Amino acid sequence: MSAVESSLREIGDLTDAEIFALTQNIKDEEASRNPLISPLEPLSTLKTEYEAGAQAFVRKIESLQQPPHSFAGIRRARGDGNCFYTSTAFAWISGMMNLTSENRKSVVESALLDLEKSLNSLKAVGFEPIVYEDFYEVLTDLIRNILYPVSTGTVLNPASLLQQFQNAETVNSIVIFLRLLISSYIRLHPDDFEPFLFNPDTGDMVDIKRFCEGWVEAVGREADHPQILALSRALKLPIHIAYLDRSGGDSGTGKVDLVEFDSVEGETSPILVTLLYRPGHYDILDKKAEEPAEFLVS
Amino acid sequence: MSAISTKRLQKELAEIRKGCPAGITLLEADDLAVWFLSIEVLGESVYKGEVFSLRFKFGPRYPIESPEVVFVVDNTHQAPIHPHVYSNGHICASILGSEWSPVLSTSAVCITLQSMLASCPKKERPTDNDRYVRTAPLSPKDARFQYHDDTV
Repeated sequence: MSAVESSLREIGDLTDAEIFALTQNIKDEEASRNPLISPLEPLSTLKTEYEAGAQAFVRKIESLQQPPHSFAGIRRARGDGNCFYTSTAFAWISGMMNLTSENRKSVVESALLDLEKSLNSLKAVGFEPIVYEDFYEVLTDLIRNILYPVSTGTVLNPASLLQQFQNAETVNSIVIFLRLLISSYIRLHPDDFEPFLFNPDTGDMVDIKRFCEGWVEAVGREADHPQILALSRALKLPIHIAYLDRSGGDSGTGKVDLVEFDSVEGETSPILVTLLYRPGHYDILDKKAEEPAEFLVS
Repeated sequence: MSAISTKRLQKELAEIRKGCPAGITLLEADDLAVWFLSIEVLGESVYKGEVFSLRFKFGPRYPIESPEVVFVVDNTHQAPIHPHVYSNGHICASILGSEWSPVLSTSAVCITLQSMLASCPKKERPTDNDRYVRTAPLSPKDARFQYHDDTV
């Protein structure tokens, strides 16, 4: 029997799970063609994509464009299962860059100090330095680069930040460090998380260890509320998620559910990350519609 | 190899050379990208007295991507008879696939496989062994396994 005949016969034998895996492969391949983080584009472009289809989505995008939200742009992240982490990291770092110069210095310094302190949490839950120190270095070098010309000779600017986020090794390292940070935070605050941990595939409750190993530390597993809450607290960074879904229906008011993960009560942060969630995917929302003109020249 | 994978592998190798966990021995790591380690289950188990050899192949995206890990099958080595180990040496373990995490090091993978063997009550091949081995890709990383249960 030829190889082709044999593989055709095998396709007929596939179980549902195998067919699902095959479809997932195709999706993964599609995803790998998109940039990890794209340049800003007007939110109206996204609206156009839905105009022929879901009116509920169109209404909700319109309401995001209007006060009090007033978002004008979207920055897309690659849908590779890490998009929450990639989006948050980009928005966080770019948020620090956009602060006034005096604010910027103190915020960057305190972020670096907090990250250094977080290594104690990683050690406390049993991670070996060998598994996190290289990733930690990549993230902290990038953040330090906001203030100081590290190895590149220049400080980070919007164009070079976007360029850094095209480098898979850099982005993956940051994503993994954030995953470990979240895992250690959840493990060290069991009372805050244990009652809310479910296996997203089956809906069964799972314990903290299983949740962290299977859905936080595992590369490519998408984030849900527990991970978002833990990251927001660990980084002292408010993260707001605008849910773009069909709730309210096509004839609804278009009111968008905005879920606010605010780090700790009473603490104010000069940076706010707002992400747009569509089922299974996160992108970044921005008040600007496109990259500034000087960005395109440089 | 990328900078990150080389750095990480060198550190792991230095730690392993300082001392492996009980029942695990480094056999060869002349090539930083391909290591051989032997594992045996200490104490009572259905594999008492058997020593197996594991081959780790590390790609340029390690440790972000999982290593390819197989039991060596040749004239002198056999794969353990275990419900998650195919007779060609491929291992069906979620930590080597969809649940891989860079938190896992080479010795952590060895320890996990060691305890997978230790807890096995009965020597049996996977039920789909013949079909899998007939059509298996060269690398188990190209196989899409349905993981049999959550315990490994």
